Amino acid sequence: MRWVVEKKVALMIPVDSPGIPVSEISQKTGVPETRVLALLRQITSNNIFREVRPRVFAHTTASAVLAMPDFSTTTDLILHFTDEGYKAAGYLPEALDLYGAQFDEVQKPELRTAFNLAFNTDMHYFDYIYTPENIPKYGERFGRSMMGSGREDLINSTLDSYDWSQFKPGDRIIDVGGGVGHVGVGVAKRVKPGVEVIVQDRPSVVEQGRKIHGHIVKLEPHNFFDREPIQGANVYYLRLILHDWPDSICRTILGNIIPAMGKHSRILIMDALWKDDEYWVNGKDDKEILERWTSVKRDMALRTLHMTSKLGIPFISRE
Amino acid sequence: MVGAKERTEEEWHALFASAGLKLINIYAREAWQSVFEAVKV
Repeated sequence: MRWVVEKKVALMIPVDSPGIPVSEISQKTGVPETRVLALLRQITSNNIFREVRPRVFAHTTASAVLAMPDFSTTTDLILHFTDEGYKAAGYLPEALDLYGAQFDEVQKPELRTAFNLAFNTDMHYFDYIYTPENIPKYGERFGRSMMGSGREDLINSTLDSYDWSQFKPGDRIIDVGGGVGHVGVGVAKRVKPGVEVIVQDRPSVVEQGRKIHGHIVKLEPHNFFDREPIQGANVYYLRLILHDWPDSICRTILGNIIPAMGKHSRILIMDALWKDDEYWVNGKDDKEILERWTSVKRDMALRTLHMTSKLGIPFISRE
Repeated sequence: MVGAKERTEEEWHALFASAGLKLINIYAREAWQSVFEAVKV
């Protein structure tokens, strides 16, 4: 999958094409034909591309989505998972043996994870991807990939649960570690005119974000491992930040904000609420849970169909 | 599931308390992401 997305194979096959020969994909990717054939035949088993006749490949609905410009940040998310994610996953057992016991005890300089083993570095993941030489490949891709994970309907369902209309002109809302500002924009749409939304992140991310969302929100450089510089804001919110860190380091991150908080300040954390028993499915013949999972799968299928029709892609089955 | 380190309601309460905060509200409990509102103790 990573190879297909990195080489932009989906863009080499026109969506309405009856198929192109594998030799053409081989020529464009610079990979021998037999290797390309093996890779594509593997991935067709997941309904991504279809071999319409021997050595000729066309799109399915799933592969056609990969070719859509609207989906480009999601392909960045796929690369984030299949590159850094899969490599790190391969070292998870070793990392648990080596570092598991100390994971919730250490501070950032001592924190080691499977990523460190996979990439042969002592740097933390975020420091690694934002070193100047890694920004073009990893840092910028991570920024875009978070837009891919932040699909508007998912962001809306979270943001709509909170009463953003309570804030008055002059109030300030700080998006701590807010990436390129894609959620800050969602907040800005929900507050009254005159309420200031300020997105904070690393300098290179801020630079990237200003080009995309700088006309809607203010973006300022700040590292949440330093003391929060904006005093007395009404809200400091962190979306999908704390799930990246063990408790010991979360306390440091929150501890850098607390001194800046005023009497009316609050912290909002947008993150997962884990419900142990509800996610426990295997080994339990529970009708309600099975029905719920069926409903989730149906919802996902409907979302895919909705997205493809919105993008103008006809539904293409393997058959 | 969001992935990474997911926390139960009790774990969120404990984390906030240990940082010097008090969790006062949880919104969007059924959504992919919930909203946890905390104030300084």
